Amino acid sequence: MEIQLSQEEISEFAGLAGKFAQSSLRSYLNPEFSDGEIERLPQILEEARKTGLLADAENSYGVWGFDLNAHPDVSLKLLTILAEVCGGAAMCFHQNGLAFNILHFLSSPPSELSFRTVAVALQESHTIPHVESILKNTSAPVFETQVVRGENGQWLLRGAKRFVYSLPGNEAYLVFVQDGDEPAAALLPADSPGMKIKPLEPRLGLAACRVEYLILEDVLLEENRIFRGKEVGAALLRTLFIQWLGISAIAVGIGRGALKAAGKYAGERYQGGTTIENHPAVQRLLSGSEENIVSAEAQLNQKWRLDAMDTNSLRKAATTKRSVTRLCTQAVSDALQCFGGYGYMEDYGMEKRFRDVHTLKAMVGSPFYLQRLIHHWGGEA
Amino acid sequence: MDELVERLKMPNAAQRMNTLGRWLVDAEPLTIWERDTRLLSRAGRKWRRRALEFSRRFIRPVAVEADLHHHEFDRRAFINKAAKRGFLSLLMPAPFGRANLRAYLRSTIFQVILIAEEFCTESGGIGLLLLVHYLGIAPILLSGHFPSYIRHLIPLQLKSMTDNPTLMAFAITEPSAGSDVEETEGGATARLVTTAKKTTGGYLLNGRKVFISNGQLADKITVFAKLGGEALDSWTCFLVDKKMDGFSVGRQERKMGQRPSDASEIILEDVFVPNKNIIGKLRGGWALNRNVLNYSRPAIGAMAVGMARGAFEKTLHFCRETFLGDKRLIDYQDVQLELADMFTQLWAARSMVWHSCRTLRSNQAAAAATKVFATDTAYAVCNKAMDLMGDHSYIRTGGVERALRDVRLTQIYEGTNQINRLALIEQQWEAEIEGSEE
Ligand SMILES: Cc1cc2nc3c(=O)[nH]c(=O)nc-3n(C[C@H](O)[C@H](O)[C@H](O)COP(=O)(O)OP(=O)(O)OC[C@H]3O[C@@H](n4cnc5c(N)ncnc54)[C@H](O)[C@@H]3O)c2cc1C
Repeated sequence: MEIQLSQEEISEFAGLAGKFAQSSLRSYLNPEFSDGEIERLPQILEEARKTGLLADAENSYGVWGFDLNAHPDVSLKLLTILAEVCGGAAMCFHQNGLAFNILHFLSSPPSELSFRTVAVALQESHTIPHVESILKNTSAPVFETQVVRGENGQWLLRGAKRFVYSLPGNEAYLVFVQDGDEPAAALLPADSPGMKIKPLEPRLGLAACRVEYLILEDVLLEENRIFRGKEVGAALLRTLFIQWLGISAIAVGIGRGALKAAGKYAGERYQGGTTIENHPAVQRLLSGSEENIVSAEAQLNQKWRLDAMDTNSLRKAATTKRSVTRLCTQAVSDALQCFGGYGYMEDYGMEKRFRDVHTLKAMVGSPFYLQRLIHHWGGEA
Repeated sequence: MDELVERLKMPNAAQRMNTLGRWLVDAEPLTIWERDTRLLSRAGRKWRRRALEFSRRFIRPVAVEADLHHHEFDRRAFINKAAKRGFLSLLMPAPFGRANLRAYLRSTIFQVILIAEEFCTESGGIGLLLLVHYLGIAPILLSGHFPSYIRHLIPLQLKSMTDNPTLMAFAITEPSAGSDVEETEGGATARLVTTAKKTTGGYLLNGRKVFISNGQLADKITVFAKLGGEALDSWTCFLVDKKMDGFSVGRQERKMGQRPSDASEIILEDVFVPNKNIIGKLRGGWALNRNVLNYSRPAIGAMAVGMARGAFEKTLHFCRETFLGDKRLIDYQDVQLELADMFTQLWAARSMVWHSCRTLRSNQAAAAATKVFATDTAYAVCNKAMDLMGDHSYIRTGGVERALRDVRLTQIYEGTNQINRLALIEQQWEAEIEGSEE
């Protein structure tokens, strides 16, 4: 049974996220570090877990918590609020929530509750997997990473995963793989023998959230941790859907944060005989930035549903990711320009926003690749 | 079918034309770089090729580390290496520099902008590290003040040709005056803190300058200061030696890109500067500063084109190497369209940079327009590179995200692009904006 929340409950939740962002996340953004005090992050995420904002096996609320399945808009709102302060931290909430949401979808109640942090391992190349066969119901393989039979009849995993987004100290991976003609998924503890985890450092932005490559050399699978059947294909589509919307929400949050900071700065910086907010040059930047954010928000604020995943809804989510991240990178860049040289320096947090939002635009389906998908799927609709 | 397509391709089809017709077809498979290079004078060709070679041989291997761990990068040794090869002495012809005289008389800065683009294809930050020297020397050259030429410019130029140059920087920006020292109306209300007070035999300088590129590394800096309690129209340029008492380097900024070059605060506490170190005339500093910007802005445009070209070249490589399904990315028409846009944008921006520099004297409107167009275009090209490369684009060792970070600065320094647009309007106001229509 899906839980319905009242408007008051939703506002209360948003208020909670706002308070958490302003108190805990802001202090994490110690200006001495370009991307915040990453070492303090586990402690902050622990706080978030206690507050109920970080979804996991125990907390079914929070960002993408499965009790919020009827309200994707709430998860998006929470992400936006968190990202106003720190896009990288918001990304951690998003990735963990996503993994548990998918786990719950695949196996309800989840077969494995002992992990506190899980990451979804989806990509194998420079871009997202080709999900055409799932949408068209054909048997073309989606993944190169394979489930194979070992000599003693046990199940082994062989292959590699790239661009896996995870929390610091991540405990398990939900790995999408190929099992004969069908896609399957396997839950692997981070310390599985045969699995090598290579962190991908350094990166442009979103430093709080780790990116890893997984090398899987005959990793032994436990039977009860393999998911098979029709649901896996649906889970794969759901993963993409949630990824794209979550990324869009984070981009909007970063954009909002940048615009607020720029507006404040423009009211304080004196140049040309007045505060710079009085110069049309700056007004144009601010209003351009706002225009882009408002358009992005309008695209994000649609009636999204997690229960009816078809080509059309995926296509809409892909369009939203592509368009929202583009609008928000422009919005952040305009806001940064209001700061002049100070915008380029680490102290004002604008350059971090710039790096973070550009990373969002590039990840999980580049704008170029999404455009191909959108067109391709359009033919099917 | 395939055979017909082959026959229809221009080099093959042209074989069916008569001799003159065939000769009139230019289907030679040349890179755009090569085509553009062939348009240059002999000296231009020489410096462009040399800079490309230097950039690939010396900048490329250190570019990643110089960005990631800039504090450990031996900047001085690198500058010396470039100076030895003549790359720091192109602002004057022989015997005081390495610029070719004939080319120089047609354009003071053309040879500099050629090497600027090449350096920045591999690293915008190393490009800045090497090129700021020219910005520091420019006030002396443009002052038109012969005593300053003899006392300072010639010795500096001669040193610039050795493997141990006297490194220069340029300081106009103050904590409360950034755009205000780059724009006329803002200048009238500028809140300046750096002042020069007359004393026996010279001036005592007090105040602060911020964001000074190579401020920490440079040996000498051309510093602009107002006289006593006067306004910006009293601005005077002083050549300040780092060894002078009272001079210190303060805060070093932590910036998003162009990291191999530092952006530092300069603190002046009763620094005695002798009269002989006044560059140009007393109170001639404002015009001098504005004119320096007219010469340096096209160079920023060239740097931006270089950074974007670097991103483009890496993207091209990626599209050649990466498969989507059973085809290379580069074999898809939509990828080709994106790449064609990038080619076109880069070509247009470079053309504008070159066009704006084809005069001996640099012009405010041309310089400002070039800076705006080239840097905005370069930023757009870097964005396209990121868009094509997806997840691979944000890995810091790849170089594309670095080009994006680096290029973003070119829209800010030497006057924000907003201030540059206003500079264009200011210059053209009388001649064609408000002036009478014929
Ligand atoms: C990395 C780096 C290196 C630099 N290197 C040097 C150097 O070597 N030497 C040096 O002297 N300086 C240097 N600078 C300074 C640089 O030129 C200034 O940062 C730039 O001119 C903008 O000034 P500001 O940062 O004070 O921004 P501000 O002037 O505060 O501008 C803030 C915003 O207000 C707008 N604005 C301001 N005034 C007006 C107006 N009158 N009308 C309309 N809009 C207006 C601007 O366009 C901008 O959007 C460097 C800066 C950086 C970031």
